Amino acid sequence: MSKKKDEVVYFDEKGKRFDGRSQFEIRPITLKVGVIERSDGSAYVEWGQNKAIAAVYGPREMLPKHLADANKATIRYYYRMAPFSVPDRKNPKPGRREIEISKVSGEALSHSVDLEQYPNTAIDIFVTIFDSNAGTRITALLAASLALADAGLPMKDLVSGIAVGKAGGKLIADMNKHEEDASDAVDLPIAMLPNNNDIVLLQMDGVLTEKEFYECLDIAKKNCQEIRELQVSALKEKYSVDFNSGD
Amino acid sequence: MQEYKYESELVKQELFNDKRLSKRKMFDSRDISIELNTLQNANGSAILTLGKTKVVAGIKIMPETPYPDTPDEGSISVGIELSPMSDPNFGSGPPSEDSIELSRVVDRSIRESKGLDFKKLCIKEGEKIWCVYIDIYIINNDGNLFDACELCALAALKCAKIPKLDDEFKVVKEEYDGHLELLKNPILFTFAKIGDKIVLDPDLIEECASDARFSVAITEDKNLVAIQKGLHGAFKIDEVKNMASTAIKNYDDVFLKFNKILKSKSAH
Amino acid sequence: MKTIVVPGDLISDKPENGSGIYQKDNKTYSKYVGVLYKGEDTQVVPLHGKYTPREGDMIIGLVVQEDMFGYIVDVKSYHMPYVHKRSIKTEFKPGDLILCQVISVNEIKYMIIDIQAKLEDGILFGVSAKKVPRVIGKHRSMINLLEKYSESKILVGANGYLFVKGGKPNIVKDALEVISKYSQTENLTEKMEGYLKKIKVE
Repeated sequence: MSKKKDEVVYFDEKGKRFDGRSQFEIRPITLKVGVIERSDGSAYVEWGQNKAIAAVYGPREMLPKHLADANKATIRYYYRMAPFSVPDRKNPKPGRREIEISKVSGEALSHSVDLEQYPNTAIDIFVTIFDSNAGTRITALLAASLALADAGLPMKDLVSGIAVGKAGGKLIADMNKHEEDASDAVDLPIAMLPNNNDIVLLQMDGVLTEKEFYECLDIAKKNCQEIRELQVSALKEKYSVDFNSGD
Repeated sequence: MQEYKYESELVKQELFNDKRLSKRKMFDSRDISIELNTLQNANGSAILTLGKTKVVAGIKIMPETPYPDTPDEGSISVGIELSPMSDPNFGSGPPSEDSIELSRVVDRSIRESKGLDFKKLCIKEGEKIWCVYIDIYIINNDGNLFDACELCALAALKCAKIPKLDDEFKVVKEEYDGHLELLKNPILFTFAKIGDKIVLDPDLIEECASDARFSVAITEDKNLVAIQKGLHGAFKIDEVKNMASTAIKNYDDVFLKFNKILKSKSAH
Repeated sequence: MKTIVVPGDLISDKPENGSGIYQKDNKTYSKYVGVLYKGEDTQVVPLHGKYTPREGDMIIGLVVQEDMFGYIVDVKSYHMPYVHKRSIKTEFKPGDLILCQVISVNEIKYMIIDIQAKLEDGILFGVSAKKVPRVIGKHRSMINLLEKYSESKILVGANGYLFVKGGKPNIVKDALEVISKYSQTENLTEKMEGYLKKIKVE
């Protein structure tokens, strides 16, 4: 089945995208907190086909000591894709894309955590992607933010996010791999602190008009509020287990 | 792992009376649970828990150039990541000698069992063969990564599909051409020696208390196909014979439980 | 019914006094995943986290390293305090368990501890520092229950390390796992009694 990219239909006559979603509909998201016992905090997030697991260790002593910041904790974020998470097997060694994503994601989370409470320490966040279909860096951030909260770290707010974009001439929310390949594709991952309105991650690939860009920001804000609700439920669910002596 | 030094003492005290802290019998393995084929980009996958140890294996079957000395044989390649998410003591960075030993023992268990017919994995002699990449990540470390990884790899192999190739030997996305055929079912059994007592399937605390480790892979023919002794301690000949025979005795039980779980998840 | 809040949750439309909260634009928000207590003060008590040292706390430490001038001690916190040999009379070695008191905490959150005693012939267990109040229980009800059923003497450090001597430490270990997992259950102490009766029989 090889269609030329221009022949591919991004919106059918009913305005549905190829996977049946409407223009701004997002794929299903499931979240679970506290999945790695050895860690200080952890979470697992599935967003569409994307599957990410995050573990937090810290705050802990930062070694080598000379790299520690005397005024605050340092967040070290490691975003890694498993070799089997992509269609063509990927070398397990981190590539330039993973390193860039690790950098901007760590910076995003640094804004949300009260780092000054823990000088000279490191907060290590390990996120592994086991399956992917566009939007892994945002899926990873959702998991990492939950893991940080789960670890008991003081935070301004949870970090929520979404990849907004454009394909087939229209703006869309939560692109998939198929849409990423459109000739006019625009990929715009955004992460924010929803109750604070702070944008902490913003990247773009593609061409947008000024008006389209502002519209994307509005779409992102609305979705982040809704996604935050899902994150909150996941955190509270961990503590809603009841104990019966019979167990 | 100094904070476990004291719990390790407790382990040894209980073992004095042939009791394990985890209340298991000396040669009982922990319960397993498996999620099969949940990763769509992988050609086959399994997420396995052995007690609280949790690992994930993903298979990618890729067309490669054959080795010059085996022009008509496919191959396997096992890589295990001691992911730092699974244990505060695992670092990020290039594979450590522990992860390499683990990878190679799991590799030998599968390769030496002759469970995969490498000649069947030939696409075009001298030009293209299938390489079965088995990549495993540790998600939570509660001891005995050896058995958890090997069993997880086995589960993933049993549901692995071979990709379809076009006329230029390029993989056609999301299309498959049959399942991987596994002719043997090797299962790895790892023992730990604590003081002068030996236990099967040590958990993390028992691992911390142990001086020596012994792993042996058994197939349904009740043959031994791979063996590895590890750590600084030593075993007596009788102890080695005992462990080998225990593994052989336990094979049927473990394989039955394993197969039951796979069938319930409708594996191939 | 306890209210659990998460970071960023709006607690109040006015600025409030208390702990575990912060103000922005004259409103009050939660800083942690924790239980909300509204009284004279507003408090969000975190449900999990490493030990935050406070002056006067009695804690249990594990000596992890020794150098020429002192010892590095693991106290289940995000920093490992250093004890100078010249400030103490006894000698220790890595692996020793010690009872300490937190003397002071400086601006960069480093603590100075004073070693009170060496703890011998016992086992070290750990729980999250935030769960220590649950392990002790109201008027020591939970810890008394554990001591009764295990017949061990249990010393609980404010930092989440416990020293257990004699009796059946594995009963204590089981109980601690249950308390940690179900710390938010109502009437946990009563339910623990039922659970301990059951496992004592086994």
